[in-house]
Amino acid sequence: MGHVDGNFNGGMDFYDELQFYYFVSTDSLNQPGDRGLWRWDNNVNTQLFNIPFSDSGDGDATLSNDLTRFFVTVDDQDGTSGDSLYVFDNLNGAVTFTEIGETGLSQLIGIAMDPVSGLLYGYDSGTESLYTLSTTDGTPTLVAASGQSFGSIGSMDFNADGSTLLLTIAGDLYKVNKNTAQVEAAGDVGLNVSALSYRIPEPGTALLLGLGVLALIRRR
Amino acid sequence: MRRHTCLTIATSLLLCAPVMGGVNLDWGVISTDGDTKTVAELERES
Repeated sequence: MGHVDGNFNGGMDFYDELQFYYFVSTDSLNQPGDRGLWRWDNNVNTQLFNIPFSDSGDGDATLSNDLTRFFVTVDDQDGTSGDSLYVFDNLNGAVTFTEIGETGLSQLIGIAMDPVSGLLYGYDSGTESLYTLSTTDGTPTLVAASGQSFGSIGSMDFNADGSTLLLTIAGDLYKVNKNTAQVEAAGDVGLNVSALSYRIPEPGTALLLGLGVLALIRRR
Repeated sequence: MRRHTCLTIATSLLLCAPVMGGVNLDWGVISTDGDTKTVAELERES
């Protein structure tokens, strides 16, 4: 597809088939001004916001279900150790960046919003457990431990109907049961991956699908 | 009738596509060095 601006970025989420937001959290291997929120539009990179701190750990990012808010987990280097939940708002205007709250978790390498329930899930490799995260204050609620021993580079997302929660650990793919946190191996993409997202089909595809369904109904 | 047949075939292909590719066809990734790929692209390259 192309390249993003920045190495070792902290998460992505598609809002169309060839458009996504991504988060660069660190100066490591990047220019200092590159930290922040970016938009990738068919291989054109545009920086939307520059954040004031650098975190070389690996967090993740996800859009809200209405595509208006972009959540990220990041260590903001303040007096409280561990990852905080932040959000970018007003994505099509004067973007704002706000701390929602401290999570108390050290390695939130994957976050994803359930498209059906609206719950924000987070996988923490520090405790090897799946949580739900409050979008009001960042407080984590334990779902369950996964029983795994994963590395510290990962990313996570739901598919469109919420039936699959996919986690990548440096390129290895795992399906995660959102109720039990048990994982099932689902392949290997062959790259060291720091971000993963479900791709939203382009409107034309959805329209064609809808027309086809209508045709099937009319034939009966 | 012919239009309905074409739409039915198109729908069938679209519905079958995700099944043929398992979980992998509809996902995008960014590598640690900044390459963006779809998982489908990676499968074709391997």
